[in-house]
Amino acid sequence: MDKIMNDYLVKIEKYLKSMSSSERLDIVKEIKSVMLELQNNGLSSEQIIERLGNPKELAKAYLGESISKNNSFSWRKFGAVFAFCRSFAGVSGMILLPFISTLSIALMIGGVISPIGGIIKFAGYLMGYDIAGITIEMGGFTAERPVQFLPISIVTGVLMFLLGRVLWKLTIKYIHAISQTKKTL
Amino acid sequence: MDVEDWKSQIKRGSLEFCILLLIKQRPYYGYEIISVLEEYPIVAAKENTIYPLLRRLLKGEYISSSWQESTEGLPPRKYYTITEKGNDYLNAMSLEWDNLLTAISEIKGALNHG
Repeated sequence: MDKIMNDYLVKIEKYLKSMSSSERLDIVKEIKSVMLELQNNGLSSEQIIERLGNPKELAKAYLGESISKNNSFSWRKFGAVFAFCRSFAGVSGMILLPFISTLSIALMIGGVISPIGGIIKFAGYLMGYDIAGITIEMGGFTAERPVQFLPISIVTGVLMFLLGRVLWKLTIKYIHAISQTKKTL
Repeated sequence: MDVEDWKSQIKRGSLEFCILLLIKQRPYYGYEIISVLEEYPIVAAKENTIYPLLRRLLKGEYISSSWQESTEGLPPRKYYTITEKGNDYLNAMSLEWDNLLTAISEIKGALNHG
């Protein structure tokens, strides 16, 4: 293992830092193993590095596979999306990806909280309290009667949640689009 | 329209199938898979395609892996074995593959005789 190949492995490890350490070490070990196989077949370090390609691209292929595997949402994947755009997505991605991924999650959370607020307010009304902390205002419109409150909050919540989900799927599609290694083979 | 685009789509769609067909016969390590596939240009793919693909199959539990020490100064190798789930997947793919071949040969025949 000379310096050229070692540096390559160090870079791979750095680019894969959003993965769990056991998975990362396993990948590095396997790349190291294939390097030694190629070396045994008489390839020089330079030829080996060239064959494996840009370490960033190779890491991206690994990360792209694990992030875009399915469209469902999980916090772990959210972390991976963030690490991915920080490392790879370039200037447009640096602005767009964090923006749309954060917005999508904010919308999904808002979509859940809004009906909860509506239910609390409505329950308060049924029991004869007015919970002043929870109000609905949209532009000039203010929901004053508690009866309006519950349906409005639910409809708003559902809309926000759906919008958030659409954005999340767009985020995943965007990552798909920039994972060129996977597409071009 | 470019035949290279079409070929790369064919390759993308059939690599998984080829890898599972190989691993079904006996355990293979990654570099070995690459070497076999390299003999056939239509499915030849480099490390940066095969290894991430193997990882995806591993995560989906279609294959399992184990590290094994080699002799004579060779590096340790990570061998891949097909799982039961992988076998089911492979059988389903084989069936569809046969359907595709039948469809193509029948369509070809229809054109030749029609």
